[in-house]
Amino acid sequence: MTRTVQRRLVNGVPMPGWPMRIFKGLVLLVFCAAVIVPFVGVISTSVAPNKQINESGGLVLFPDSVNFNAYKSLFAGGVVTQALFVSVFVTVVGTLLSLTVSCLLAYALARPGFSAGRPILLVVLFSMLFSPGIIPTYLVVKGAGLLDSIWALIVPTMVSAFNVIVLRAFFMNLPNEITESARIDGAGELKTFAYIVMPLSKAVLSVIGLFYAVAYWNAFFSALLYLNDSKLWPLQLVLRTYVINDTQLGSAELGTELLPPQASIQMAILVISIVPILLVYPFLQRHFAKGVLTGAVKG
Amino acid sequence: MPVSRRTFLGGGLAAAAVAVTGTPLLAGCASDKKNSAAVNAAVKLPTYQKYGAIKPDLPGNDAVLDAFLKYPANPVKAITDKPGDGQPISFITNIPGAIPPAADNNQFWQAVNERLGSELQISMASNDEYPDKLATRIAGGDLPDIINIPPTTVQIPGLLKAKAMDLTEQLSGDGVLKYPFLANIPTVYWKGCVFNGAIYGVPVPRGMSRTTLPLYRADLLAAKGIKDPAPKNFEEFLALAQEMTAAKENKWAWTKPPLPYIRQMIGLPNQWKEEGGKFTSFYEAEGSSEALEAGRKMVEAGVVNPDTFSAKASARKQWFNGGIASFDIDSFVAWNQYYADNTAGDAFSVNMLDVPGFDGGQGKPWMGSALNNVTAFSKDSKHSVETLLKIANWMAAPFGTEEYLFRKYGLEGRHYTLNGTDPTPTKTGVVETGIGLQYISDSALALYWAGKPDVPQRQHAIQEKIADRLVYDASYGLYSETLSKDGARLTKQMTDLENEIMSGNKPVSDWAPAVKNWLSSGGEKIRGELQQAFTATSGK
Repeated sequence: MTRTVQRRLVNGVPMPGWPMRIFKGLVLLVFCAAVIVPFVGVISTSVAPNKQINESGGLVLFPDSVNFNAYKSLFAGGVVTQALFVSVFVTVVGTLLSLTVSCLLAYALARPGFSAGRPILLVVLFSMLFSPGIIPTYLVVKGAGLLDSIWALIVPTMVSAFNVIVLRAFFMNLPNEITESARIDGAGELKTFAYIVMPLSKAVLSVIGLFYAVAYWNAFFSALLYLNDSKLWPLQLVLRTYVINDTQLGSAELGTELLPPQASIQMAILVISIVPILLVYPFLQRHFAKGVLTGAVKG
Repeated sequence: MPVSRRTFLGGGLAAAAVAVTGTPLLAGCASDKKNSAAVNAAVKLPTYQKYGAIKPDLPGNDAVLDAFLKYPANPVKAITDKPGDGQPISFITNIPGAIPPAADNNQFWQAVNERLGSELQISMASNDEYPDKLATRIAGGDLPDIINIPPTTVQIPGLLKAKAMDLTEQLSGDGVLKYPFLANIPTVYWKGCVFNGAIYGVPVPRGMSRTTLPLYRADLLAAKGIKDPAPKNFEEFLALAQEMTAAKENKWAWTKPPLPYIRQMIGLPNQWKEEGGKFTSFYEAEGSSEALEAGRKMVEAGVVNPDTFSAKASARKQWFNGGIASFDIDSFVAWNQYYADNTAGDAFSVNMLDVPGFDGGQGKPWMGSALNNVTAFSKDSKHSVETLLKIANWMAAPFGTEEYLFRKYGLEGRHYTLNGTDPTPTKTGVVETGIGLQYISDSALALYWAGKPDVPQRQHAIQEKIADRLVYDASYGLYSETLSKDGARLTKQMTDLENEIMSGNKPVSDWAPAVKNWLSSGGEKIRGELQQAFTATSGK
């Protein structure tokens, strides 16, 4: 007599047997561990005692004791704190300005009957295909009097051609009837843009805003070139010097045993630079997926 | 300032030059015929006059550095007048460590400004990013008053001729005596500052302090009953490494394969050797394959930490400090740094191995590279050349002076505390003093470690042991256009192959064809240019 096994259906598909479920669970566990273990290692090393870090050769998973010397060192002297303020300012103000300018440009380019639209669009596309290069850009920034100014971190990168194209594609796909009805009700272009188009564009604004914000948050090279006063350096450039120099913090000729080892400092840096994005990302994630799809399928 | 069509196109052309040649700029200037070796050799170098007010506990000589067992009591205040002219002075430099607090939040920097009598505005970049920053500033026509020019900067003669002040009149011969601490820099270091038949910069000397030999954890070796190790040949050296390896306990003798040391055992040239006017690179010299084979053998024998090929320098230092490795190959500067980073307690003790011959006898240690950088003064600077030289002179005040104590350690109480006469840096001191002053100018390193007189004693002893056998780089002071333009690329190819061979991914037999390729793609040309320069200067 044969015995039939009734399997529970999940979404119309029979649920796999225990061995397969355990196997799948193990595979998922391995993948999770691959992500989590380094992350735990980063946090643990940043708070582990110096002796343990040296004896383990650099990376600690389970610290014998916890101390915050690396964080204290980073924030001592105010360099990292100051840089954090600069980065927040550049990211917030830069993103707002970029969104404003990009939306205005993209909306104009999306409007039918705008005679200069095509030549301006070609200029925008040209900047996407051909980068001006470091030195000409430096000369323009210098000529504009932006050297050693915090605006040098915002103005040169304020408009991204890619983002403008995505926004334009979105605006072009808004039903004409909506804007026409606004016009019939007496709204001008600006009013239509502000009160009709913008509220309909929250998803794309979120994703483009995130693109801009991440770009501003991560930017370091323009600060390296345009800012001589290290007081104006953003967080990423300051943290990068800790990581790139790969030397101990102490001066070789002087020496001191007071500062934490380089591994501990580097891991603390990673934590500091990741946390702000980790805090923002979950709130924007659903818009992010939707916005990316918007740009991908329309246009 | 408006961007004119000319400036914009100039910038564009400079950018194109970078893209095409990898050369930032001034290619046109670099072809200047006046940078011939004969013309450079005719320049009368600054007179060396040792500053006599400070007596070292263990005196050095041309090669060996002066050693001090403690910081001299009542340090001499050697410079009474403020060197600055009251106007801000700008300076661009790399910095080797973390970014220090900006001037308005840095009491050391403020005190420097006060003592100089001029505000020092420092534009900084990390070591890796400095070449990009410097190249952009040069191309943008935006150079500060004082410029740190690393020896690896491409086409230095053209750059200096176009952008820097000629200092020959002020520094040549006895002219330098007006700046006693610049005169305290031995003549050999000035050789690297001569281009286009003129002195174009002030040296930041290194030499012996950069000589690189095996450092070992004397405390770990002593625990195994090994005192004052002195292997007599490579076999004994390998046996010593095997004795210090316990793979199961995660203990390895070496942080990385000590290839430069093996090359010194074999007697290979220090970069370039000159014999009867013919130059030979250490890549092609007889015995180079043997050195690689010996290095590979060490890796195969399991005496090198297996993570070495993926580890960064800081990780290797942690292995040494943490006792995971007993040997590291590094300089006298690193020796001090190990004491700074020590977490092993008072027992921690470091010493350095002498170089035996590969098959017995004595090996040939390599003298460290002469210069860290050349410091040039911008032609467009509004400051007088005398002011800028006075600043450099102040920065070169040697160990034992009050100026040195301030420059390296800062202000007593805030940046260091005195233990007897020895300054012990505070955490604030280490963070605030790292503003890169040592790259404006510097005195030769003094062997010293606060509170541990045995450290300079050991350092001085090993330097005296190797001094007579030091091998110098024959190419120092000779300019090769190809080396300047393509040296970094060519060297990288060979270093990559060395690593491949060491890790066992490629056989040693790949070395000979790679050397042939190196010669045909630039090595031979470099040799020719160096030989030509040498011939033009020989006897001068």
